[in-house]
Amino acid sequence: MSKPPQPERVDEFLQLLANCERRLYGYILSLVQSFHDADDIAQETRTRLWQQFAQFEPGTDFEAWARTIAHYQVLTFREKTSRQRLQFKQSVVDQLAGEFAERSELYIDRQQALLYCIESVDEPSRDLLRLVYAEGLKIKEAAARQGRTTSGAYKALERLRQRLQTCIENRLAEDET
Amino acid sequence: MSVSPDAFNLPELSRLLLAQLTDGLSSREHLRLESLLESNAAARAVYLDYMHDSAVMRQVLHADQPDEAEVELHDKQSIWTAAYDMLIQPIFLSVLVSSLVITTGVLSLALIAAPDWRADDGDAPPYEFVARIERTSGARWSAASDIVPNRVTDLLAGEPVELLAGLAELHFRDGAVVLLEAPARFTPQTRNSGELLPGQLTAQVPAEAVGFTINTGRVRVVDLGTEFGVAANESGATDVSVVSGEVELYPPDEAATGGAIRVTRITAGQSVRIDAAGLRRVDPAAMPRFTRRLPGRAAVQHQRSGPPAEIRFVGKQLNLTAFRTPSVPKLHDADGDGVYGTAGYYFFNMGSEPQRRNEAFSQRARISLPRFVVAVRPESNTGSAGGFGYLSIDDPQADFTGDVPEIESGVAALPIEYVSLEREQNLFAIVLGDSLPEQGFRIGVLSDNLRSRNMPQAIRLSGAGGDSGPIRVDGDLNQQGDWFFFDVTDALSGDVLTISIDNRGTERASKTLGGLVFDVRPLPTTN
Repeated sequence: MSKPPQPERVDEFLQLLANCERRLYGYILSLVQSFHDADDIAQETRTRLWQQFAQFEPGTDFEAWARTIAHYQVLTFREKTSRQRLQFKQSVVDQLAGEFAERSELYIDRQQALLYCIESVDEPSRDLLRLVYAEGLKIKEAAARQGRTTSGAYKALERLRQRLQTCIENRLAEDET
Repeated sequence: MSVSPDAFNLPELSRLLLAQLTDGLSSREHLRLESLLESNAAARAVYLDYMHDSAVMRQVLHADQPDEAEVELHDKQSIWTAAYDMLIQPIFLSVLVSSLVITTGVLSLALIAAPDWRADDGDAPPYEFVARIERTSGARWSAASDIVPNRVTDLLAGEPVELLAGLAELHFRDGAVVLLEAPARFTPQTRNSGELLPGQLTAQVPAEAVGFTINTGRVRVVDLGTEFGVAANESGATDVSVVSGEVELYPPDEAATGGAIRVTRITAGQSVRIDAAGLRRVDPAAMPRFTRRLPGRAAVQHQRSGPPAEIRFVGKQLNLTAFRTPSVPKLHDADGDGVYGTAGYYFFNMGSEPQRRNEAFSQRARISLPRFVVAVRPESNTGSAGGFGYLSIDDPQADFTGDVPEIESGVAALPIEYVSLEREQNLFAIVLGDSLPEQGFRIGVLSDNLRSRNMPQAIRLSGAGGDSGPIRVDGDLNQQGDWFFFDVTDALSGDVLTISIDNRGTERASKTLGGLVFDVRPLPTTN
């Protein structure tokens, strides 16, 4: 039986969580491929992490521990929704989960590079990213909001992602040198 | 860590990833993505980076949310730290007590569930896309077929589709083209075979796909290079009618039929019926009416899910026959190796005597398509011709490192009776597939390889939202071989590019082009 977490550990918990929250969300998203599903699982994972935080041994890898909890939430979600969602087969999910964990450390620098690169895009492009990724609109809906054609928005988004990717690679290469 | 994405089609993967998080994927696209990820570590790396970046953007791009990296922990409003309030709420603590029991059971629950999925995986057949629905006319599919209307759709081996109404043109990976007529249930089986039960189809089989097979339960129809029609009813009774060439008929299973039919060869103009009574020849007039071509223009469907392609005229090189000889300067060689058509080519009806007119489009063609081109196919009235003493050019099949032997070129031809001197007409189409080069590719078109009266006034390359505009080809006609080059970028798998000709102002005659070459500019190397 787990011991309930101590209220005085809330700050410690939030600090640890804040250090890895985006990567943890990325991990979940990579396994379920839907923002809405990832949001739900992330919410549930957060609750589980706190519930089980008493079991977490200080000084060990919180992110790896959190990923394990998140992974089981993903598995539970997959089981519940197996007939309603297109899902990758389990062997692919296992591959992705393992390789995300291997790349997780790289994502510390990548996240900083991405934030830098987002700053460099113009306001309409940033708005398009916000509509699609933060608000979760379909491209047609985002296009309508911006008063452009669907194919125009699609093309803009595709090029924007390419630009961001190039910017990230350049930024990371600069850091290395 | 750096992973080269060379081993897979990055534009295709990018398109799937973009669609996945925005408009969603069809089940086939989902399977395609899954198979890419399953088979390729570099694709998985791209996928994971893409998902990571998307996740970060979801969290930092809310309009009212400042950059999290810049703020104090307790000021944050992210979806995670919004939990703070909830975590210290009394209601949460009461839920916590009751949920601890559930929580401690989560791991064991998940572990119990996992073996079922793994067992499924072990039994799952490998996915292979073996055919593609390229075009339709009035098509309506059963819901179980999971066909997205108005989109080029890849078909998996062993996955049946049911056409309830209309016509559908399926292109097999090995080159055979099947025109399916409703009502029909059809299952692509391999890259060069399928099962029809019941339904009706015609098959056009180019030389490279000889051996194409249709199974109906009562007979295996094996093509020997031809066009034929097959109609099968629910019981498997099958009518076979050969339009051109020959087919062989085999028992589907020797043991099951007890040798009711032996191997039988039927030729052009012949028809047979195979049913419980065995095989018998029948009057072709008593056979079903097979539809051989889709009505109307080529592009019946294919609404792309990506941005439009860009097609740009690059330039021309006049009076060139030694297109494979590196020592002869090449003005528009994308890969710089002094050879046009390094990535691939399609030359129509090559070779000298006998004289050949109004032949099938792919007759005597010399074909080596790039891996990103599925097929080059004629528009409805386009045939081919050769053997009339047309211009001799380098033999595309010869080794181009030494002296390149020549061969008489032929033509794709729109016969005079179909030529319009008042409007543009499509001559043939280039169907694009997977493995499209990220940087695009270059197409060269051979013109002026026979009499000037047979040349169009202009050609145009268009499709997938791109358009070169009309390019005049009648300026320097001397039957010495003129080449016109186009760059294509942002094309997607499933796109169909069309070569059209404009004959306004020209003499009434059949109108022709000689062939195609494909080259790809190398990606810049990085240190």
